[in-house]
Amino acid sequence: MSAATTAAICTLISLLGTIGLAASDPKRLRRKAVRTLRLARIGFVLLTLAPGVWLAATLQGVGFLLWIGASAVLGWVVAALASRATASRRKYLA
Amino acid sequence: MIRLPQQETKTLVAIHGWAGTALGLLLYAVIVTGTVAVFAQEIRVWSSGALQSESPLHAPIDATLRRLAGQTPEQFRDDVTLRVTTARNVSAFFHSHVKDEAGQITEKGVVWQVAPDGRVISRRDATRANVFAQDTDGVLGTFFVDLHVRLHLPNPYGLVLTGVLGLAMLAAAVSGLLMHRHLFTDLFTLRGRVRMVGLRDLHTVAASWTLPHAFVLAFTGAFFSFATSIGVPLLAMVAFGGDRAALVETVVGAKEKPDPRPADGVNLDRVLADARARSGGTLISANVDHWGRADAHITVRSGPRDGALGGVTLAYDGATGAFVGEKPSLGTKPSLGNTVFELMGPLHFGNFAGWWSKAVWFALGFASAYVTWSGLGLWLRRRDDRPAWRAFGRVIAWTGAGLPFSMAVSAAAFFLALPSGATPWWTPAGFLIAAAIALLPALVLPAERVAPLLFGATGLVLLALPIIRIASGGPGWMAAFNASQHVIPALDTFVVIGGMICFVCAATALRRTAEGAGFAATMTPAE
Repeated sequence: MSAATTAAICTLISLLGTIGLAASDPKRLRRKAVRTLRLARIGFVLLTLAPGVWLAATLQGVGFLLWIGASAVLGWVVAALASRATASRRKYLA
Repeated sequence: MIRLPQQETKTLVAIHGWAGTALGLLLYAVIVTGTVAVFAQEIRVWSSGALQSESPLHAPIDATLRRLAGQTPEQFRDDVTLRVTTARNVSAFFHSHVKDEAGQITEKGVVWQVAPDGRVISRRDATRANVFAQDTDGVLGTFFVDLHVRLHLPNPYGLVLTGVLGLAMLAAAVSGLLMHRHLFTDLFTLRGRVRMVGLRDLHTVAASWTLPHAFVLAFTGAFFSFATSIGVPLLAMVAFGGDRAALVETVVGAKEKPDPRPADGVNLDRVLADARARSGGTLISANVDHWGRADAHITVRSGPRDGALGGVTLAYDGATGAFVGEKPSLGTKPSLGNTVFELMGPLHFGNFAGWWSKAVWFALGFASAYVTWSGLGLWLRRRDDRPAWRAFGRVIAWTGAGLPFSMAVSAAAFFLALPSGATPWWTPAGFLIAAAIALLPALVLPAERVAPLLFGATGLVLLALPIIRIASGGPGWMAAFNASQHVIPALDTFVVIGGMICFVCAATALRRTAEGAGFAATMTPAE
């Protein structure tokens, strides 16, 4: 498997974690984090970071750099889309 | 969460704001041009219409080179440097080392441009300074790179300035990290654009996600700028009494004992084939020192193979063709310093995994440009009641949206000048003319309408670029696909998508202004 393919798979896994973190963000949802939500968020953090830790631990430099760069860009995109989704939901409920 | 005393936070806010404001516009220009320069090599291929995708150094070259050596004056046959040109030909520079008028050692000789089939395209007398002057096809890519590297200022001032900008970016990143109290908890907090706090969110969320990249780019950029403009001369002066040759000999390694006996030399095709197999990457350049002598020495540089961050330089005995070893960039044997030095390039240029890494670096560069511009806008809106800052707002709108517009127009000017061969003159001229045109709306129109108008105009030029390219004699998509040259259709597509995004951004901004969520509505000083 090429370095780019490995990095793409790792980025997708991290993207799932990032989406989970955005979906359960108590500040954005204006909801206090209860214990189950906190546990879920810890799981999402692990899901986001684990692929990068694995790439670094296995000394896959190219894969690690691709992963950290792509995850940062996709994280920004997720933050923007999550904010948009929240705004439309609030508009609908109002 | 980082908790600092109130006074220290205020100091950091001042450092962050003033570092960004004083140099923000130039920093924005360097980041935007750097973002485009990530694809400099692809832009060279796209703009020149080169259909050859394989490196010409992978084709047989030895017989052609021996023929050209016979036609080159003997005093220039000491060394030969082979490089791949934009049009995918081989540039063979036969040269000797001579002293110029200033007493500096330079390379002087004859440069031949040879097609992959061995056909001679041109022959020209050249020095090291102008050896690439005839590469008019690659002017557009080189123009963007020069704009990024030294803002087209003369050496060393341009390099020093971009080095200072790199340090300013580093200062802004560190101060931003320290003063932002909720870095992790605010990663998804965007509270709309209507209030000032929402505008601040747009800036901090983008900055937080791209923080590691900002550190890396600022540090490596400052390193590249200062290393050549200040570092090398300073080191030569301090450690070698100003003797640069001694410095180079220490850093690169001492040359072997001269042996001027004539020798036929090894078949270069055999060496290049071996280098290709050993490196696993595309061959970029080759150098033969002491051509036709017993002490001839060959070095071959390759691009990165799959899974490697950088390419390698392989050394061969020029008389026997025996593989000598892999040559580090610094020193004569592997070292930690060399490893760190060799990491700088891939980390800054993002060229270690082809299109994948370049696309990621491009996106990160775009995000960094957004952070810079939104930061400038934020600083300005807090001071909107002062006329001087309002005037500065027009300058920000002109630079922020006028730069992409000018870059797009410079590309159009390049294509229009391509048939006449006047690209070295018209590419910068097109940029300057467009910058002057962009100044008119910045002076006349209300500030909030300047950027949407210029982004709309940029979209229009970008959408027209593929048509202008083909109309000026560039190859169409079918010809490119038939030659397996995917760069041309890919960049055409990116340019069109970029044009459409510019249109959408312009329309959205105009709609927001009409709805009252524009410049004036965001002024809520109490926040």
